[in-house]
Amino acid sequence: MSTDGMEEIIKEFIVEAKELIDGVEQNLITLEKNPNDMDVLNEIFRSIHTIKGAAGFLAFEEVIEVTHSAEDLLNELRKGNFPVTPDIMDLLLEVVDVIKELIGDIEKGDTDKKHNISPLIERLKLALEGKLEGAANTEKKKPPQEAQPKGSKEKKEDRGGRDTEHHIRVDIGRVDNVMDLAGELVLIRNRLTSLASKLHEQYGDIDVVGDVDAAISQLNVITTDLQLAVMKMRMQPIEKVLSKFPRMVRDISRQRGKEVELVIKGQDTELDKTVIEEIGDPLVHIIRNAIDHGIEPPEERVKLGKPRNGTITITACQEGRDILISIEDDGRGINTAKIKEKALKLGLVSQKDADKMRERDLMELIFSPGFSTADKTDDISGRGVGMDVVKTNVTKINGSIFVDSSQGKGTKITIRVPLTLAIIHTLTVETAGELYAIPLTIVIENKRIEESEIKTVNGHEVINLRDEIIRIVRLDELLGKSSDNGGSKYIVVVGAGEKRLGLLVDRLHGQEEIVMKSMGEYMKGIQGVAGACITGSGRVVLVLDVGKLIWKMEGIGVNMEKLVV
Amino acid sequence: MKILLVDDFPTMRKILRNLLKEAGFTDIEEAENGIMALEKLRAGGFDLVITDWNMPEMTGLELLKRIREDEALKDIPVLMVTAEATKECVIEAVQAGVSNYIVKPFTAAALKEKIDIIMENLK
Repeated sequence: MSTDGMEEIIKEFIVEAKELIDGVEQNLITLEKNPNDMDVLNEIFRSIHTIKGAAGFLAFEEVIEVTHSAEDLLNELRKGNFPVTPDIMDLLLEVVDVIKELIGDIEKGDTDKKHNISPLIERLKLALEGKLEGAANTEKKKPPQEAQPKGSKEKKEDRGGRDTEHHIRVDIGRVDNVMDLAGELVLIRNRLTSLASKLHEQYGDIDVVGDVDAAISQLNVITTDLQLAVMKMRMQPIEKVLSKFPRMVRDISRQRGKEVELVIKGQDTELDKTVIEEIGDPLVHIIRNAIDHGIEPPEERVKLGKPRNGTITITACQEGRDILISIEDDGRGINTAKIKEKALKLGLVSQKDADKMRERDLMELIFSPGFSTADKTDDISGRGVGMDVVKTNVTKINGSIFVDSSQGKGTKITIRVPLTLAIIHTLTVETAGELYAIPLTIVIENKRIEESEIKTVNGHEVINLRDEIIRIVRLDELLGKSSDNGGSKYIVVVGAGEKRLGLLVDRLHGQEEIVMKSMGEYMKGIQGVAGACITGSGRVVLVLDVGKLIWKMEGIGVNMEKLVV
Repeated sequence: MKILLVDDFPTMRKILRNLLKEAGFTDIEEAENGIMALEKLRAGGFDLVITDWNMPEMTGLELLKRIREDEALKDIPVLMVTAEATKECVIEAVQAGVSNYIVKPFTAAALKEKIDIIMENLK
């Protein structure tokens, strides 16, 4: 074939072959549950066949060889000459992995790289002769793949009815550019709105001012619509991440000798591409934990009077401007006594503090750095990356995470993430004469207080809020400034992860929708500052990264655990 | 010469289009399934259909049969693209009235040869 447009064809092949192979993976999981579903089997066969056909033209020899052998086996399954056994499934899933790897290397430009595919081909041949028995298990299996939220798989549509003429693939950079411009427009709009109200105050009786008002309110509506429209362009169904999980759950539970059913609800829920990309790893970890530590082995479950199969339910739904994702299992639940013991051993809490902690607080300890109740580490969970990393990742995208567990009945972990990261709702506060914005996602409540309400306990300033003792941190001191005006102040109660904390500020300025800008190269990495924004009044305001601020405080000698008084 | 290319896999359509271009054919339209192909064919003007065999919903063979059953379309030559040319498949296609068939993968020259044979036979 001519080299004309070859590169483009290969690019397209990579994208589409990936989509097909993802589909094969999902269908294989479906097939294992319904071994007699001929439609699914036919679709698997057709996808492999299609990949083989195109690979033939592109001379990707290894892809051809693997797909060809897989096709032979699938054909026998189609004819009903073999039953669909777990060993055959393992083998076919390995085919999927190998094809993914081959395509991955083609994508990297490594077309000459040789892969050792002959053992796989050999086993496919054995399977074809009906001699696979146990062969798949003699080889040490590699750990199951991490979920890979990257790639450009669009929402899967009905293949027959798909109308390619109504879809285009657009480079994400272009969409981001439009998003940025829309963000800038919002800033200008905010500025204009605020100027217009000043104009209105001073020259309200002049006709043209009324016209300006009308034009601006129209601009207002259009900008909001534009912003929503661009946001929608970046939205993807969470299915993109969740679709990787049936395979993962299957592999891990098979490896661990557990029987687990995965139920996924709300996979159509849409959220921003960036959020989708960041949410994959935390979810993988939580699910691994659920299988490894949560769900009991089948025999134990039967003894306990539970169904043999454990169930993990992932639910995604939208709640206002947030997306809630919960991962619920019906396993043994979190043993708070064990957590307490472990936390004491690790020196995360003192005996005195631990004794005072409530069940809920003890559970939250699983998010502490370095915490893991697994006695030994292995390749599934407890690999040194614990729930603290999960929390860090979730916090990074302005999300929050909660755990709820009932011993013997199961655990539910809920993640709350914003729909989009482009627009942030903030609370603007003033301290020492400066304005700061705090993301609303972490703000729990605000309260006006008098200086006299602040008490000192154990050398820390606290207030009593409806019988709950909350540690106070003075924002001005935290930022190395000082505001001297006494009298009434405000506390902003924030929930940075598992802790509640009251930030003491001079004044509240209200809520604002902002578009956060990064600080740029030369001011990058300032601890406690997430970025900056321009408010409607035209002022530049720093957006605080409260989690980091508190961490910084910890770094200068304040023990985080002491925050729980 | 106006050619209709039918394949459900976009990459394959692009590959075939590229090969056809190399063989000197540039007037090409695409359809991603049999139903869309029939729609386009009924709009008229096509001199040749190149269709994949293995497609969901409507296979290439079914499409061929539908073309032959249609009074307005029955004389349009159809070139079938297949992965395997087993004897049974070839017989079935010939009985359904296929003009010629070609086995994947193939070169632009082989494709041109097949098209030339089809066109020669029409005369």
